[in-house]
Amino acid sequence: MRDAPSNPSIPLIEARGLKKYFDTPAGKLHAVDGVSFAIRRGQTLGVVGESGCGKTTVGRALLMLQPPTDGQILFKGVDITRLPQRELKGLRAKLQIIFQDPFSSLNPRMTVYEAIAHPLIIHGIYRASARAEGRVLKLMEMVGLTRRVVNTYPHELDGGRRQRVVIARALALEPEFIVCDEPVSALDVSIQAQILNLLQDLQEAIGLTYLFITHNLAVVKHFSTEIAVMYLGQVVESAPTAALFRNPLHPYTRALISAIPTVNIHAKQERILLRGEIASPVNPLPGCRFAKRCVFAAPRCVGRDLPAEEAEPGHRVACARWRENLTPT
Amino acid sequence: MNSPNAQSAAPALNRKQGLWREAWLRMRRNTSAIVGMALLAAIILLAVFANVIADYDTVAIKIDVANRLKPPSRSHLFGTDELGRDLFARIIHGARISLSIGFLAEMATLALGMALGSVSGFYGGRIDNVVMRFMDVFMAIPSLLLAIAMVTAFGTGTPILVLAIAVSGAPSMSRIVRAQVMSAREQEYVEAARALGAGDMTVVLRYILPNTMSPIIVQASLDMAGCILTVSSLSYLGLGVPPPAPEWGAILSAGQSYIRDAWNITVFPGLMIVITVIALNMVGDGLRDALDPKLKR
Repeated sequence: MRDAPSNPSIPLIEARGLKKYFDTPAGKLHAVDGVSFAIRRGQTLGVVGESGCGKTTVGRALLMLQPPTDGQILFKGVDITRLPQRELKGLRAKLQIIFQDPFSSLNPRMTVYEAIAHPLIIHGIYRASARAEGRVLKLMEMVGLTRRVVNTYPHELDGGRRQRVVIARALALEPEFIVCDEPVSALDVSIQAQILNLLQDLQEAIGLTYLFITHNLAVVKHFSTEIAVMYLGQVVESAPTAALFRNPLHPYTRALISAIPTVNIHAKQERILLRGEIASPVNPLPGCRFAKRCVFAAPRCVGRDLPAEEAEPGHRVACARWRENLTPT
Repeated sequence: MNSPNAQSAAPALNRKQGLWREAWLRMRRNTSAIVGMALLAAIILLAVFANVIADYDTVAIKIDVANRLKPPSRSHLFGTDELGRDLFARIIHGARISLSIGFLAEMATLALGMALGSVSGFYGGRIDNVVMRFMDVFMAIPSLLLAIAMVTAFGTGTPILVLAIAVSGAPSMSRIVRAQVMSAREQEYVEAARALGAGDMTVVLRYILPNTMSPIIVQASLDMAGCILTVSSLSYLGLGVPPPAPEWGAILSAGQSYIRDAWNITVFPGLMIVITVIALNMVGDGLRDALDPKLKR
């Protein structure tokens, strides 16, 4: 069915020094600036960060929807940034994406059936839309859509069902890797859990690998095997989920974790409030990009770029003062 | 309780026109659109059954000098023209010519405008610049003048007429298509289609153009009124459909020498042009209201 699982020591997908710059009238906007990570088959990397930190661009670049300015993307060890268009099209089946807003990511003029069947037709698996019926119905069942909605249009469905259609469409080509770009943040809270559970069930059932983009650490806590925290186009800290929550090293990560609301009203919670504006991603200066807002900022934080250091196995942090075990006063 | 497989067979096809049906429901409540459609339907019916009502060869173009310049009467509903031909017969046969040339010209305008507009809107950059500057040149020439020039250069006849009107109408149509395509291109579902591996053609034909159709259809229905006017204007100037074909503009033109003695020769074809153009505009406005998603509650 699928090509034989390659060497398990090779990550399914890997980014090396990924960069994406955009030209703006003010200068080069560094949306993604030297991001590296690797995701093994069946695992989930959560990418966390605030709006504008480049997390969405990482997802788009990874799928070559916005080809990166520099860096490599290795899918099963093959650099896909250099592939010719034709080979890339074949590969698209293996690399899929689920968008934030299921309303705008579905073509308003296509019924649920057509939306799910269309990828199968694009890739020539079926010649005519009508032949794909069995497959479409099976996909709908997989994502928990009732048969009743097969002929409805997106605007007739609620957000949760729409997102299920988007997931079914992404699954149609039997992908191995899916970028989930804030897949639940546009949904009602009551629906969010359903969709998250669905994504998790699908991962277990068919061995999917996810890159899960979100601004909400709480969402990825139970979902990801590893987490990468992004700030202004760079990964400031990355670690296995448990290690990151047990021992956050970067001041920005700590601020994010402290912002997760808790259910216990008696728990005294130290909120770390970030002051100041996020720096401009246009022509950034060398040095820590978080320094302007960091309470621990010191002169040595700026002036030169900080390489990520390995604090413990698999736990990398890009902070000049992480060894000092600083606590806010 | 799942319905049996047989019931869910042939999916998508039966309810395919859902969005259009909604537009129709909205349009039905619009009085002026319904009046426009009724008028248009009446003219189309007259045109379709023109030969049943009055035969072309024996009535519409048959010269009967003894009966020339007769006022409207029971035997000649709209009277007769300067050669004694029945004016009513000529006018309903003229509807055939006006409607068919108007329709063909509009289809040609649409084809040209959509092809140029979507290429230029979709690819942008240098291609866009070249195509649009070319369109600007055409837009700078008054459309009637352009049509006259083409007819003079290539001779009269329906194909040339259709082409002349299409060429002069294409620039404005292509601008509208371009603007629509440019905004639809940025939609997330287009990116989703790319992620699914869809090529440029598929993206444009299945994802972009279907979502840009409403303003284009509105524009086309309003444009068609203009096309009919242009055909009539050209015929009036003697550059349209050659005689003895009873084109409205040509009848009007011939009638103006007799306007003092026989008002009916100019008034009735003029009235037909006005009614047709107004009906098309009413339908176009109704379509705009019905298809505009911003008016959706």
